Order: sequence, then structure tokens, then C-alpha cells
Amino acid sequence: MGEWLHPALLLMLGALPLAVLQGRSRQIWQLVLPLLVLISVAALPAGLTLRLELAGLELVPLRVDKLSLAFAYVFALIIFIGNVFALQVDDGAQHVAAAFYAASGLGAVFAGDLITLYVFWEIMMIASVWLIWRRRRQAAYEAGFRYLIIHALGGMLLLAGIIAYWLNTGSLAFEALNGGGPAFYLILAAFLINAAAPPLHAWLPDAYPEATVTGTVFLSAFTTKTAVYVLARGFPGTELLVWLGVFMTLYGVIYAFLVNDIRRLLSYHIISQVGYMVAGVGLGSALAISGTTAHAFTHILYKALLLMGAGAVLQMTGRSRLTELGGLYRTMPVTFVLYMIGGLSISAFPLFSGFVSKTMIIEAAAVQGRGAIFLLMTLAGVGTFMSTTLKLPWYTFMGRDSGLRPPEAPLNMRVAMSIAALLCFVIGIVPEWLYSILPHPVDYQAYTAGHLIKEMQLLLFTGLGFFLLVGVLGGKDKISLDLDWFYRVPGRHALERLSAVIRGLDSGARQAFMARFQALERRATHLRLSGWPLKSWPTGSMALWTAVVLALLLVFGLGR
Amino acid sequence: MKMTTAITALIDALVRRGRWVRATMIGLMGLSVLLDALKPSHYSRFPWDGIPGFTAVFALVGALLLIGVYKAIGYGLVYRRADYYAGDDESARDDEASDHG
Repeated sequence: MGEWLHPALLLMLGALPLAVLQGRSRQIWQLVLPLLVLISVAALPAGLTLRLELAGLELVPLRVDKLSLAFAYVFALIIFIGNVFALQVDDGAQHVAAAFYAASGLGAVFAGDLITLYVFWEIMMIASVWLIWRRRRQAAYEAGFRYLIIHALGGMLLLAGIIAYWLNTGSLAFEALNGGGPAFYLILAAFLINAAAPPLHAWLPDAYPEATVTGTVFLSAFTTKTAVYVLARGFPGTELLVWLGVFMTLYGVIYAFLVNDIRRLLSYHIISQVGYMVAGVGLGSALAISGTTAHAFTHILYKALLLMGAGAVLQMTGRSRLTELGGLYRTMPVTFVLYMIGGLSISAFPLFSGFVSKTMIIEAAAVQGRGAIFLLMTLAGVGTFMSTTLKLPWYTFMGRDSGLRPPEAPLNMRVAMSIAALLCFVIGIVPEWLYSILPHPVDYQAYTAGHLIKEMQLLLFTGLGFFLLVGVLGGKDKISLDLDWFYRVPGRHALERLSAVIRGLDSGARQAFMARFQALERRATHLRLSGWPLKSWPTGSMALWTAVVLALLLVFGLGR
Repeated sequence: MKMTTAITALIDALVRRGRWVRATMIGLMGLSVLLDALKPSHYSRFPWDGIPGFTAVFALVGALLLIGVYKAIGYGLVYRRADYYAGDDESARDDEASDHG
């Protein structure tokens, strides 16, 4: 099946009925379609390549290898989990957008050439913005536009880079790009925008918390992880990425502390966790690339779980600010426990998925003797545990009683969270399955006595630091400015001023034209009333003007 | 429903036994440092690899450092009133209950 039907095409075509199906039939198709996609991905053998000739260009819409398969497996899994979570949503447009978005993610990881990649890259942008806009409120609409503008910029950079690359090399194959040159940096910049790397990262914490409850779950899985895939494919061993990735890990962690909205907090942690992956790509060794792939795999699952937990809170309480939440464990204990499994996974707690993946990247830094990188990534792990696994659940589910008594999330939401939690746990205790699908053979043992002792020290003493200061760590009823401030405030003002200048110029030009026109009209009226055109003209004058007109006709060739 | 009640009861029990939970955590902290001191380091890649309890001190100091840094950045630079982007970051609660997604 997989050999003749591209999984992305299957998902796109299969998504169309979701626009019209209603009720139980829509829900059944929402479950069956991702399972078909999962089967189709599982049926793809590594080494399969599909080539097409189009307008003289050789395209490779399907290139299957271990790297692309590892990402495709987890993409297919999260489509199923996300659809289970979204079963109660009666919004065909949102389901179709989610499916097209996921399909474009699959298409991008299977793309063997840059044109195919570009096409799916742009479909991803267009489809994903609808997951934000379907929230149907002004803030979501505006955040969606900002998201669209930044990604359109990324798309233009990618297209320019592809053209430059093609002109330089005559090739469109999507393989590791050689360093240097405009093509290299244009394509790298485009990929980094989608990876939410600073300084063009603010679209993520701006837009994701404004998306629909179920849309955020899909959004957390595809855009940034597709970017990680293309970076791993195109830019392994690029030193710049090591430091940029480490910066991302800490940037995301610091900002996660600063924000009050629980989905925005988790969005900043996407930047932080993607930072580990970007750094892993930069380290470039077989262990680092496999660690990056493993971490992308586990991250998609536990981040979806965390956002499903936060989304369930939003859905059931109508609130998402830490300052308005607290004590929800009393009526939402299942959501709380499932959220904590996601929290323990992202914190690399032993027995959970993050422990077997994140530590691979940190180990890769250690193997290369990168002490500063090792310590800074470990420090980011401290911050991750504090804000995601301690602060957010403490101020949402425990701590001060907000008086809210919402019912548990709907059954389908709990089932989706349970599937993700189960996968986080199974990967944590049996990492060999995950290691077997990684692009390079893995000679890494997560469960050694040394690793366990160090990790337990790290988490326990981080917890000590948190509880020593827990009284001052609650959310603040404020917003935290990020770099999007530059285009939201001075950028907007500059645009408004530019717009005023253009309006002024336009108005002035039109007024000048009308004034001249009116003057001409007055002159014509005056001439008509004066009878001047009707007066007797001397014969010589008439002959002269006739000659002038004939000369003009000759000069401008009107007689040709 | 039974599971929900059981989990709530379990969490309530842990909350009531807060002192016991704290003592257990402190015991685990001590144990992790003790084991680190007793077990010879598997690695010697970095100068700190052989120092018992280094990770514990690093975690505690790192946690306090991160808290200090975020407070400084927040109050010194980036915190603004909730309606700073007027009409842009409006109250997160409007229409949430009726949100279909």
C-alpha cells in the first residue's frame, strides 16, 4: 500500500470527507484515517525512493530512510492521538486543517528534493494558521496574522535559498548542504524560523496559546519538529547550531518562568526542548543525531500530553492563567496525574521517555568534551523541571484553592492523554524499541547507576530550590514582553506612520490633480463663453496649424 | 468515577502527610549524595566528574540562580500590565467556555 500511495496524499485525500461528515460517522473516520496513515507509514521500507520528472526537474516526493521514518512514525502516532483528543470538536474546518497540516509534515520529512520540501513547507504554513483562527476571537485572529507573516518570510527565504542553491550546484536534491554561501544561510535561516530559534521565535509563544484547545496539540508536534528534521538532514555538524541550541534551551526556560498563561508557559518550553535538538544537530555525531531524533520522538508525545492537560484545564474551567487556577486536583485528578507523567517525561525523570532521549544529547556533548555545553544544557534541565513539572502543576492543580470545581475532562480527552502517557512510560522503561528506529546504531545505556544517581540528585535538589522559594514563584498578572514587541509596537507605529505618509502623498497628489483639472475646466468654460474658439482665424494661421498637425503625424508615424 | 475518587483520596492523603513526604524527600536527597560519594565515578571527562554531590550543589545553585535571573529580567525589563497590547492580549477568559476546540 505504502509503495503506491504517499502517506501525505492519503491523509490529504482522506481528510476531505471530514468537512462534510457529521456526528458518529465523522468521529469514526477521524479514528480510522490516522490508523490507515499509520499502516501506510509502517509499510514503507527504508531505501524506497519515488522519482518524478516535472518540467525538466527531477523531483523525489518520497525518499524513505531511517531518519525520515523515525519522524514519520511519531507524526503518524500523534495524528491518531490528536484526533482522539479532538473527537468532541464539531468543526469540520478545523479537522481538515489539522489533517492537511499533519500531511504536510509527513510530506516534508519524506521529501527527497528541495522543491517538494518547499511545497509541503508552504502547505504547512497555510493549514496550520487555521488551527489558530478557528479559536474565533480577535486575539487569535491577530496572532494568526503575525504567525502567517513570519512564516511567509521564512517561506520566501527558503525559496530564495533553493533558487540560489540550484543556480550554484545545478541540483535540487535535499541532502546535507555544504557550508558557506548565500544558499546555505538562506535555507538555514528559513529552517531556523520554523524551529523557533531566536530572534525570530516569538511567533510560537504568541500564536500557540491562542490556538484552539485541540489545535495547539497538533501545532506542538509538526512545525518545530519538521524543522528539526530538515536541520538534521541538511545541517548536521554546523557549529553555530550548538550555541544557538543551548541559548534556546535557557531562553525558553527563563521565559517559561515569566509567563502567567499555562499554555504559553508550555509553548516556551517547546523552544527550550527544541534547543536541545538544535544543539544535537550542531554537535553532529552519530550519537547526537540519534539523540536528536529520539528526543524529537519523545518530545512530540510528552509535549502533546502536557498541552492536552493544559487544554483540558482551559476547556473545563475557561481559564488558563496561573493566577486564576489552583486546587484542581480535587475534581480533575486524572488530568493531573496524566499531566504529571508528561511533566516527569520532559524533566528526564528515570522510567519516563525524556530520560532515555534528552540524556543522549547531553551525553553526546560530554563525549565530545564540551563541558560548557554539558553544564548549560543540564542547567536548562533544572529550569524545565521547576517550571513544567513543579510550578505549573503546583499553581494549577495543587496549592491555593481557587474554588473552581470543574468536572473531569471528557472521556475522549482522557483516553488521548492516557495513550500519550502510556507511550511516555513504555519508551522510558523499554528504550530499546526507540533506539532501534534511530538513524544510527546506538551504543548508549541510559540506565547506569551513575546516570540514575546524578539524575536523582539533579531533580531532588532542584525540587528543594523550588520549595524553598515556592511562596514567590506564583504567576504574576502581567505579560512579559518578548522580541515580538519590536514588530507589535515600534513596528506597528512605523507602519502606521508610513501609512500616514503614503496617505498624505496620495491625498496631496489627488488634490493637486483636481485643482489643475478644475483650473483647466474654468479656463475651458471661460474660452467657450468668450467665443474665442469661434472667432474668425486668419488663413495663414490655419495653414500653419495644419502644417504642424501633419508634421506631428509624420513624426509619430501615425500613418504607418 | 471510582478511579477519580481513589486518586483524589490518595493525593489528599499525601497532602495530609506533608511532613512525612518532606522527610522522605530529604532522606532521598541524603541517600543520593551518599551513594554518589560511595560509588566511584564512572567518568573522568570533566574536572567535576569525581566530586561527590557536585550535581546536587549544581542543581540547587542553578535553581536559585534561574529564579534570581527570571525575577531580575521580569521586574527590570519585560513585565508589563496585562492589557499592554490593548485589544491584542485581551483577557484570556472571554469566550473560553464556548470554545469549540
